[in-house]
Amino acid sequence: MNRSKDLDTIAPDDPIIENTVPTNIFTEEPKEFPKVNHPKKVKIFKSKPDQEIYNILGHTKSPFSAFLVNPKIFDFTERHDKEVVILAVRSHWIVNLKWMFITVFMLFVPNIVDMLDTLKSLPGSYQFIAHLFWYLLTFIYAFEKFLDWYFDVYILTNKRLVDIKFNNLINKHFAEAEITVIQDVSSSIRGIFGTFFNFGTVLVQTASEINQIIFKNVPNPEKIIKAIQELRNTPDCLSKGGEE
Amino acid sequence: MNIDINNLMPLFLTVLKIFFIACSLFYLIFSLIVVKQVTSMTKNVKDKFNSILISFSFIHLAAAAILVFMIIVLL
Repeated sequence: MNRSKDLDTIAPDDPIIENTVPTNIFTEEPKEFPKVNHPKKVKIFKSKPDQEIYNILGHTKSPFSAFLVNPKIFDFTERHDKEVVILAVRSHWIVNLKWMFITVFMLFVPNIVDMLDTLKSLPGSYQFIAHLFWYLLTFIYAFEKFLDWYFDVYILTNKRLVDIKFNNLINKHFAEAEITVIQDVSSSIRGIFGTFFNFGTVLVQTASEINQIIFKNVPNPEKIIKAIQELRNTPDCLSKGGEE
Repeated sequence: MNIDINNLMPLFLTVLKIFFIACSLFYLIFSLIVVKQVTSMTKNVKDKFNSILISFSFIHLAAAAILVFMIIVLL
């Protein structure tokens, strides 16, 4: 077997080339190296559940969105160390219309009272304080309603479904169900608004103590069901989810 | 028995002032609870908008405190 004698310049795996003519690297012009067609690097995407859900639901970067797919900043206290939030869902924005209309009406109440001359008998300072008080009440009403909507979230992680709800700013409700114990998922869309704006209720039946988790007034219930099914059908997610 | 409304007005205003002070103090306590709750909520669920919500709750607290001050000073 022929072996190259110039062991300083070749690697062990290089093909053996018999070169009998000595070359001077300082005098000779540099030769162009032959172009080698390296195979292009092809990225291989693994079928991750978050990517699949991304495909189902699309994405938005707005923090007010009803769907937050694979959010970077979103987090909750009960999350385990290696648990990944795949989807956070809020109620459809249309449910906020009621309190928004009430707020707008409340803003005009002082004007209506002024027109009716109800407070005219009181001194100006009293009227001013009454107006100020009313506007503060209006603000806190709207603020509370907004917080109620904003922090009422349903979360899909790679391990479980989570329902976090704050009632009247004082009570916190937390419910969870492992994805492995989900039995049935159903949805219902009711009423003219529900049909028109495509929002409804998703009912998740589980085999755990909390036998059902209800996603109320969520947009695109069919997409949420698909996302849950995707999580259920991902063996990788179920087996390694919290251990990666 | 004749009741003079003009004599009753200062009494009514005094009662109203006490009522306003009591309400505003309760409201101040309530706004403190709101701050506490918003902070607690934002700790429980972390999101992009949380800092702004906390700011709103503190602004509301400040407004409630100003209201108490104004009631005491103006009325």
